[in-house]
Amino acid sequence: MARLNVKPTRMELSNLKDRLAISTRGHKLLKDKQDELMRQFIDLIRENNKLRDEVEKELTEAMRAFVVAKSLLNESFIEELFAIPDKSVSLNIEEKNIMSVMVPEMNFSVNEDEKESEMQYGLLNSNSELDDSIDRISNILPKLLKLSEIEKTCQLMADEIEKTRRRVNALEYLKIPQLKETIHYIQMKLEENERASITRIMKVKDMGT
Amino acid sequence: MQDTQYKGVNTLLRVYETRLLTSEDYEKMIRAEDLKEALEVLKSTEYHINDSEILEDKNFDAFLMHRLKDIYEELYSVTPDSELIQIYTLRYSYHNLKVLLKQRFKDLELEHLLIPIGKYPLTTLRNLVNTEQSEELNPIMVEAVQEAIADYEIYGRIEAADVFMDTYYYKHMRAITNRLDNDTITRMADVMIDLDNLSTVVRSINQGKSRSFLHTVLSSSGSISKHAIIEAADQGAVNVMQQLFLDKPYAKQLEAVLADSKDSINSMVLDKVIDEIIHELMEEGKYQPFGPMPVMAFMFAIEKEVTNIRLILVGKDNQIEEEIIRERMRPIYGS
Repeated sequence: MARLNVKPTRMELSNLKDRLAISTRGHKLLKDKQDELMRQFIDLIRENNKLRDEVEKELTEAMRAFVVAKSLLNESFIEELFAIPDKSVSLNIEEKNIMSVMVPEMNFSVNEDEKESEMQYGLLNSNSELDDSIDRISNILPKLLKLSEIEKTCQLMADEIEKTRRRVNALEYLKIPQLKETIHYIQMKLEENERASITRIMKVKDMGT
Repeated sequence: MQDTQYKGVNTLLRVYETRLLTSEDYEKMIRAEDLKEALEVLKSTEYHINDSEILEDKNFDAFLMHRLKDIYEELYSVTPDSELIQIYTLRYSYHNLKVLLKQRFKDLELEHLLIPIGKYPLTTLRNLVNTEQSEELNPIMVEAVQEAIADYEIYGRIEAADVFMDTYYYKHMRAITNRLDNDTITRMADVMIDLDNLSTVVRSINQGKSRSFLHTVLSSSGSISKHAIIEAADQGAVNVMQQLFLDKPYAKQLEAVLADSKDSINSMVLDKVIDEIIHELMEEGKYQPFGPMPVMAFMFAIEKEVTNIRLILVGKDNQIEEEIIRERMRPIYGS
């Protein structure tokens, strides 16, 4: 392990000792942070997997139903039905702090456009299978939005875990050993100097007698 | 209009109908392994398609609409009474009006949704929507657009476009069939409107819509009064059918739409049964040497052909099981 390129002085030694103390404390804190992040991350991932499976399963079925419904209608007819959406979703993102990771907390509000009538789309150029598939897709929407929030959180946490892991490793395998070695080196050097000066004094004293 | 005026076009139709897809063509397409194979079958028919292009963009409607457009244009040029063709093309005209109205209401760009099929060119329809007036178009259509725009300006409801166009579509169709005064065509319009109303009731009840919703969406142009349908609908869709449809000549065929439990109506089957009932009416009239029935039968056939082709191609493209495709297939001309 390469030691740091510093002058072996008492001043440096005291500095390095301080740095070592901070690094060790930092390492411990970061390690704790990493553990906690991992714990929360694993919980989230589990939830994410569950939700994703659910959403994917339902979405596949809904899309399939939609394809079958669509196959009996002209595509322009369908596009016309939904050219102007009767709902709009507004998204309000707040930040939530999980172990210093800023994760989004998404609040979706569905505005049904202060609609008075129950008409979603014209019934002439649509069919009952389309009703059914649209219904299914609308039912999945809240879950899909929730999933997007969890997935984004997972990504951000994964990034943070990666970063923390790198820091912990850097401290544990590089910084702390380096500091320790340099401290050891300076101590040795200082002791050596001390011994040298004692020897020199003794020699000088001998010369006087 | 004298029935004999149709003799020329009816002879011509005997030629056209040989170009329609046969049951064997459909069978081959349904059995095809994948989309490519199904398109291969289609290539040998009247549909001159570029299969590599279609395989890439999967735009089936483009060539299907092109074919429909050609056929309707040809029919317009040879049929003595253009309103007869309108019975089928009105659906596209009213669709175009909806698109144009929505464009006007929300200032959107929806040009790609316009379908250039119908008696009147798109520019005429566009003029109507912009100026709310037209000398050329049928007054029913003009009134429809005026009403929709007036409603939107007062209440600001986008769905005015859908509601008014759907209602006036049936009204317009009824006006044409009344003028034509042909027994079979009148029966066909009755079947179409009455059963579409039944289908609307079933769908509305399934979606838990209110009575006032039914008032808005049901057509009063059918042979069964709208009021009677709404009254009967309070006790469910099956009640509507049993009270109002059992004396109809097609009551027997309607039985198929009851679900196994007999307490609900399978609306998917209903949609198909409507086509089958009309198909039977058409079969009766298609070999008449005079009169407008063969033209009607041919238009019905080509519309269903396009539906069937779209169904098979979309099905093949999405690996939908053969069985699901088969149970949705519409009647085939001549079979």
